[in-house]
Amino acid sequence: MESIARLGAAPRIRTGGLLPALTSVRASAAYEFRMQARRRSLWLVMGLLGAYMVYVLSESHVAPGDTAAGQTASWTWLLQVLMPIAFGVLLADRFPRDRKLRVDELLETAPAPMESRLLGKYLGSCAATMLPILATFGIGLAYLIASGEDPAAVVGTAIPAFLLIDLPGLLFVGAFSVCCPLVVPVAVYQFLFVGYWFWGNLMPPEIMPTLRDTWLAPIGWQAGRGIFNLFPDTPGPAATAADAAISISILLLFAAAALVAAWLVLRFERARG
Amino acid sequence: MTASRLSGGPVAAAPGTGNATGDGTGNATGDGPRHGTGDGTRHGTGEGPATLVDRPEAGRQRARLKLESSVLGIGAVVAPPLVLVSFLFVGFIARDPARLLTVALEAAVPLAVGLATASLLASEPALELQLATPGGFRPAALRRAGLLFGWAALLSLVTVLIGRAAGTFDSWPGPADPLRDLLMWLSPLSLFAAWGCVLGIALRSRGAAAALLTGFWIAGLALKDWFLAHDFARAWFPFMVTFSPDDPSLLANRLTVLALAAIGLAVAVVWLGRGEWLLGSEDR
Repeated sequence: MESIARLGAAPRIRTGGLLPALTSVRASAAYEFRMQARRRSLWLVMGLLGAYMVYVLSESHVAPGDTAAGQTASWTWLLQVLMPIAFGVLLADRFPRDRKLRVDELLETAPAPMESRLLGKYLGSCAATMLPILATFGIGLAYLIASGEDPAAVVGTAIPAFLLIDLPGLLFVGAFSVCCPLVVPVAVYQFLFVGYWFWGNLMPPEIMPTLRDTWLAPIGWQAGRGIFNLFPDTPGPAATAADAAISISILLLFAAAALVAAWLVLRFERARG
Repeated sequence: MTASRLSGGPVAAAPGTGNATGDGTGNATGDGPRHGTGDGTRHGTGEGPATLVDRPEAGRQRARLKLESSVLGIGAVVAPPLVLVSFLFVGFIARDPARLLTVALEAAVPLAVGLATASLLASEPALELQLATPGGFRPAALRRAGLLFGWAALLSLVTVLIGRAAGTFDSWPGPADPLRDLLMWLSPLSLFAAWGCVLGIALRSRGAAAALLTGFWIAGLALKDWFLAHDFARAWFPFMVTFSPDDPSLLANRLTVLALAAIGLAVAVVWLGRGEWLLGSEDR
C-alpha cells in the first residue's frame, strides 16, 4: 500500500461515456508511466546501450561527409538498430508482473474498464521506456552540434526524423511486447522477439528471405530511405515517400491489431473466470 | 508448489507439530506426521514415494537432478533443439546449411541458454526457503544452470559431430579441426550461460538481464564490422567463426571468450552467496 501511495493520487474516475473513459486511460497511463520510469533497471540497461550507441556515433560517424540533416537522420536510424531490443524486452513483463504480484484481480474490481486499463498500460509504459531513448537521442544530437554541424539543421531534422523513423517502429514493438506475453511465456517471447528483430530487420536479403526491404520492417528502413534518402548506395529496391507512408500506416495498424487481440484475450480470460 | 517439488512429493508438516529444518539440499522435513496435500493417497508416515531425505545418497542425487530439471520448465529444455532444427530447416531452404548451422551453434543456442539462466536466477519463487538452507541458493542455482548448460552442450556436440560426418560444414571456410569444432560452440555457449547468471543475479530483474544480454547479442551481429575492426573488441568477439572463420587469431579468440566465461562463472558463484542482495529482486 505504501508503494502505491508513493505513486501519487489518481484522477477521479466516473464510469460510462467517452470523457470518463479518457480519464481512466489517463489515470492508468500515469500509474504505468511512473512505475516503469522508476525502474532502476530501465535506466541502467538503456543507459549502457545508449552509451554504446553514442560511442559508435562519435567514433564512426554514421554518414561521414553527409549534410547535417543527413547525419541527424542517420543517427536517428542508428538508434533504431539496437534500442528497440531493450525497449521490447523491458516492456514484455508488464502483464506477467501484474499476474505474479496478483494485482490483476484487484484491478478487475476497479471502476476503470478493462480496455481503458489496457490502453493506459500500453501508452504509459511505452512512454516511460521511451524516455532513455529520447535522452540518448538528445545526447547524440548534442554531440553532432558540438562537432560543428549546423544546430538549426540538426534540430530541424531531428523531430520529424524521430517521429517518422523511430516512433512508428517503437509503437509497433511496444504493442506486441505488452500484449504477446499474455499468451506466450516472457522468456520465450523475448527470445523469439530478438530472433525476429535480427532476421526481419538486419539480415541482408542476399543471405535469406527477410522482411527488411518490405513495408513490415519496424526498423524504419522505408521511412529512412524514402523520406530522408538514407544509405542510397545500399543494394535492394529503392523506397519512395509513398512506401514510407504505407510502411508507417501498416506498422501503426499492426500495433492497433495487437492491442485489440490482447483485449479479446483479456475478455476471454475474464469470461472463463 | 516449489517446496513440494523440492521435497520430492507433496509433503507438508502439520501445523503446530512439525518443524521446517534445512538439510543443505533444499528439503523441508517435518517432525510431525506428513499429510498429502492433494492426491489423497499419502496419509500417514510410511506410505507413498520416499522423500529426498529418506533415500540413499546416490538415489538422492538422482532425485535432486530430476527435481531441478522439472523446475527448469519445458521451454528451457525444448528451446535448444528447436533452435537447431529451425536453423537447419531454414538453412536447407536458403541452400546454405553450413552458415545457418554455424549461426545456430555459435549465436542462437547460446542466447537461448543465456536468457534461460538469467531468468532462472533472477526469479526464484521459493528464494526465502532456499536461503534458509545451509548452502543457501547457490547449490540449487548452479545445479539448474549446469543442467541447462549441459543439455545445450550435449546437443551442440552431437550436432557438430553429425554435421562434420555428413559434410555439412565442409563448405564453410576454415580447417576441419576437432578443437575448432569444439570451441566454435563451447566458447560462446559458456560465455552467454555464465554472464546470463551474472546479469540475473546482479540486476535481480529478468527483463533487465534479458535486455542487456539480447542487446549485446544484437550488437555483436548487427555491428560486427565495428567489433572486427577493433583489436580490443575482436579479441573477445563471440561470433568469430560466423563472421571471420579463417581468421589466424581464431584460437586465441576462442580461448579468450572461454576465459571470460570462467570469470563470469566465478563472479556468479561468489555473488550467489550474498543472500540479502538476492532478496531485493525487482520482480518480487
